[in-house]
Amino acid sequence: MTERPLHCTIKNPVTINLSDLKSDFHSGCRIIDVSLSNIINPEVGEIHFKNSYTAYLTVKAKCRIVDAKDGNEIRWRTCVKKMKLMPNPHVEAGAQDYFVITRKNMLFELINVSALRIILQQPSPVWKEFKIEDLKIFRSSESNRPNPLPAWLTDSPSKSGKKKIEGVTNLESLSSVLQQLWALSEEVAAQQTNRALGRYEVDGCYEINLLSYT
Amino acid sequence: MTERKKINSSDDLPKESDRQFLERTSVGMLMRDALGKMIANRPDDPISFLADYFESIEDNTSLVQRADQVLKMTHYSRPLFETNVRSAYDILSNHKVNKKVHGVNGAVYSDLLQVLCKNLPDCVTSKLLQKIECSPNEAVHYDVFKSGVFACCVLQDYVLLAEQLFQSLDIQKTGKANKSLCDVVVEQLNTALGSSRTDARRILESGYNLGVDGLYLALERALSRSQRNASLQTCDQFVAEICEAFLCKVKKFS
Repeated sequence: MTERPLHCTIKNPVTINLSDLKSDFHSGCRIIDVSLSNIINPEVGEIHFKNSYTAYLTVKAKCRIVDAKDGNEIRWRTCVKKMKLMPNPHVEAGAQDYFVITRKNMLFELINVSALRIILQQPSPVWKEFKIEDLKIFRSSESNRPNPLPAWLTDSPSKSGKKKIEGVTNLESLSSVLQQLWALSEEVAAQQTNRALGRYEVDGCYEINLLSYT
Repeated sequence: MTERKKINSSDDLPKESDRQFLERTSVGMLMRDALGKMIANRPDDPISFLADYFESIEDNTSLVQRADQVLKMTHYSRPLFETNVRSAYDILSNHKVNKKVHGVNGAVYSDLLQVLCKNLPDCVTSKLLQKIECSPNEAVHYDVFKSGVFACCVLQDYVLLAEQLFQSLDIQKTGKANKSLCDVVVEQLNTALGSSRTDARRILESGYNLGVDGLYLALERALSRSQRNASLQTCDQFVAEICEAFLCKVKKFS
């Protein structure tokens, strides 16, 4: 990851409760407010998080819309609408997955955003708690891709059939023997003792001062 | 009178049952031990295992020979090997250091190592012993004993594999192989061994480099660099170089 996440203020989730003194009604809905007001030229490309038993996720954005008629207008717009994180709210699948919301999932481009409101919904009463963890917001969507895999990992080993080297008849056996040698060496390295024999000599000589203390 | 004696002796013999006979001669225990050892060790060649076993029971063998025998009972990859190392250590513990003291010291330990390494090339043996030998008057702990013995046992297999590796490089069966090819093979192994055990990425990469595709690339590169009539290398040189990689992994006792 080359890009650092945006330095925004993420508030604690608020559970929507309709409660009076007698009864407590759990709405299955929580809200996380994210303030981007301290960022110059705010722009959101990607939202990363780890799910924890949230079924649906909605993102609303507070945008400043430049209008031809009356200049600037600040409006709340829904950017991601009820995205399914768990295919079935009652069932574990997807409950602890990592998600990345990219431009593709968004209904419009998030520019000139001063705040985000993330709405979590969990209609199922099966789960005691629901939230999202490790919420991170990135400016652009391209630069924070992980490093590409090394070529040796992605190359398909299909063309090995025609590989012939002068002087080597069987490359497979050569490779397997070498790997066995490697394994044997590592095995020995793992079995070495750390026990000191208590030798005092250095390069075959004794340090006379050391001996006098013992 | 004579007739009576005869009757008596013929009466005596049937009285001793089969079981009693086995107990009297203690052959029963011996056979039971032998079978137990055999089942525990599951040798590839049971007959020669039994022959070696009975040979080792004779009293005139030395402690070192007996310990060597015990260690050779099973391959080091089997769990029982650990038990055998322990019993070999116990056998050597009877070594008499002086009038009052018995125990494993550097001298008897070195003797055992010499016996264990007797099939290895001399240059490899001397380098290995430099690392794992103890000076004659040092007391040898079980841990030290175990890792030394283990290194010796693994090195046996290692040398065999290295020779096999040489055979596959020496296609004309002249006893000599292209040195640049050998060098690449040794180098690849050294790089793989250079990676630490904890660095997962390096380990994966080393695994690839020792795989068919990785080797192909490295060998091809080496061949394109070297001349057609490159110098040749003998099996002994090659094995010594390969063993060098192994010896790097053996820690010197201190």
